[in-house]
Amino acid sequence: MSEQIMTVRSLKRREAMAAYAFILPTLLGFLVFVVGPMLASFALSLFDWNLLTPPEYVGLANWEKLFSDARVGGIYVNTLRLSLMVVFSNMTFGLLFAILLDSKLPVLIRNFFRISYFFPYVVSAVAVSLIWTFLFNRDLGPLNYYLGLLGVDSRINWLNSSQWSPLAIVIADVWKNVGFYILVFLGGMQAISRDFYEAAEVDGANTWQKFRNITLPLLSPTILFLLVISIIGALQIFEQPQILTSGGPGDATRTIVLYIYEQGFKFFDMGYAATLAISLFAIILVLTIIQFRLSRRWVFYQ
Amino acid sequence: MKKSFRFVLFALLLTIPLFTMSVSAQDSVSGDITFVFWENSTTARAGWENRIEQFNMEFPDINVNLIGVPGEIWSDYLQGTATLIAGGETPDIIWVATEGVRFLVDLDLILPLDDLIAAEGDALNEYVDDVAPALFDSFRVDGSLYFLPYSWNNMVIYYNKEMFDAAGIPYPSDDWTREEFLETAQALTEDRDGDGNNDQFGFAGSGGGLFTTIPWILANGTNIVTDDFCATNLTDPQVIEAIQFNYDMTYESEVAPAPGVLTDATLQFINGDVAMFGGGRWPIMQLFEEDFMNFDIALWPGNPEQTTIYGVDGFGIFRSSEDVPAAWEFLKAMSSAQAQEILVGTEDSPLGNIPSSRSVAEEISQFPPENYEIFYGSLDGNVVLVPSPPRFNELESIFMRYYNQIMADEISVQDAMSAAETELSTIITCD
Repeated sequence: MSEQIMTVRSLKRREAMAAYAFILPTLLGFLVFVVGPMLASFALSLFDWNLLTPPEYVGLANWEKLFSDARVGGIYVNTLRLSLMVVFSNMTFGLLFAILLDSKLPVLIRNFFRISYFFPYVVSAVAVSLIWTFLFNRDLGPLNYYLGLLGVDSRINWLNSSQWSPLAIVIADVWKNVGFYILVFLGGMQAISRDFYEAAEVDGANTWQKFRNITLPLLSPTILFLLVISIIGALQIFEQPQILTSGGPGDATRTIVLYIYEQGFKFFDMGYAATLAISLFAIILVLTIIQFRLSRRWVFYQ
Repeated sequence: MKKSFRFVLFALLLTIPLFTMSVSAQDSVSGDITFVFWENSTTARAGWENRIEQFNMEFPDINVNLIGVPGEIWSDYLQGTATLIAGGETPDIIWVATEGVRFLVDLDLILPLDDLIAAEGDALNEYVDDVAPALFDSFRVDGSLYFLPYSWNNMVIYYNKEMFDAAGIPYPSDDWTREEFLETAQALTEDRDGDGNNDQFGFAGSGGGLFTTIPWILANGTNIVTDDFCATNLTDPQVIEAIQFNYDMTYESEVAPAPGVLTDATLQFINGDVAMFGGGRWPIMQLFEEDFMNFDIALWPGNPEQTTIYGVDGFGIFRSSEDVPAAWEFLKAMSSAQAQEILVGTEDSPLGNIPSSRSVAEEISQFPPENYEIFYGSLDGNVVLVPSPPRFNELESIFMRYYNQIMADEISVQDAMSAAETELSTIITCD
């Protein structure tokens, strides 16, 4: 009897050991490359460090600077606004194109479109943004030229205007990333059992009703996943504004990550950059917790 | 000094016969030194390796470790070097542009060269006499010299001769004024497709960096900072007037397209969309690549005095170096006229910087533009060093942020410069 218990216990222990062994590589990577640098950032936020000379302990001076920095508030507002525009546009167009691609098309055509939409996603954001700088040029760019042919007389200052530049960044971002959203939405749609649709058809449901009452609810886990991923990604958007507008005019397209980079690597103020990074971490954490809390009300699992 | 020299393999071959002056190996100096170079092209490493090989013929006992820091612009290089130092790898030799000089000297990281130069006696006279004094000035802080000039750049006006000929306009004169420039630009501006918007422009300005943006301010006889770099001078009426002139070129006379942050004026010039633009020697690389030869250069238009900006790059020694004698030998070799030969380039691909030695700079006469002597010759006229206080990067970033807001037509010049002055007041200071 007691021998049996021992065996069960040692078995359990061995299983646990095996489990730990399996997660060890990931855990190590997580500790060394995520938790370590994060703790280092917290420590760094208490120092004044220019990389070239030894760091100097300054207590909470960087945090005082954060709360008295006249630009941070505006930059966060601009980052959030840009993020909302990027997430909303990518989700909407991603879903729309996924629905179109999910319809009954010849396989060859469907694959052609799938590849076409996905292709920009694998191209480097820097290369894509450089091309867009030519397309968006106010006076000599093709976009304004064709808009002119369509009767838009005044040239739009896409790359240097508080009004238009955020939109230019959203356009460039959606063109590049929408393929990823389409792919994930398509995966989600294909995971929905056909039985639901057959049952609905028997009950006389039309296309819209099927979409509204079957596809959308059953796609909600996919939507939640994309929403979480894309909000985290959008809050860290960097390449497009860096190359298209350098954050300007003023701070109109300056995202917080651009500002962190500028403080850290242009002005060599690593302590303040770390402080800003921690503030971004806190905001992303809070937003993600809110999303998961709210998701209980609208996400359905099959 | 935005874009700079690319090292082309052909040019490397040119350097092989050099360094042969003192063939007898000097085995008196030995050591182990590290040189962090700016890896701004795929051939840069090969270029430096080649030169170190030449150097080792003379100094076989000095081992030079090469570390490449990749980057598009100067600040990338400085950033990469700083990261190396933060990681515990402090090099002996650093390459620097004027913009970074006071940042490094202010942190007390660089060894003054005065004693080393004095110890040389007359041996360095040939090099020193061949380099314009203004280039040394750029590396002098509080009377001490910290770097040896290698190459440099200024800002001149590039013009498309074909477009001037087609419009029947004379080429710019040696002493042209801003009024004459504006008249010329107006005559070269056109609405080719008749849609009510100009699509051919007389001039293209820059929205990129300080170096390419402020020559108009210098031409007004003023600057954005005081001469000692201890305070800003942004609300000076002459500064405001020069920026207003830039704004008016886009929004009033409409002779210039709206400057974008990364707008490639050279490409617009090659395409025949703009007739004139400002640049250093670097656009020549792209012009040759595209086989565009029908251009020339002119001095920056005066208002009234012709003045232009310049910036220099060169080599210095870290105070922390444990092999100063070896580092000094390497420094002299890398700054020598012989080493600068590589900057001239070849017939197919001239390089983008002006050699600091006048005798080497003379060799660029073999390429267009015809008025090549304006490059080095500008040092004999009015030149102003690129404003380079210790916190240059913040000066550039803040000034350009407001400048681009003006160019976006979203703030008046006066308001923008007042705001910039306030923001910079605690940054540009000597207290």
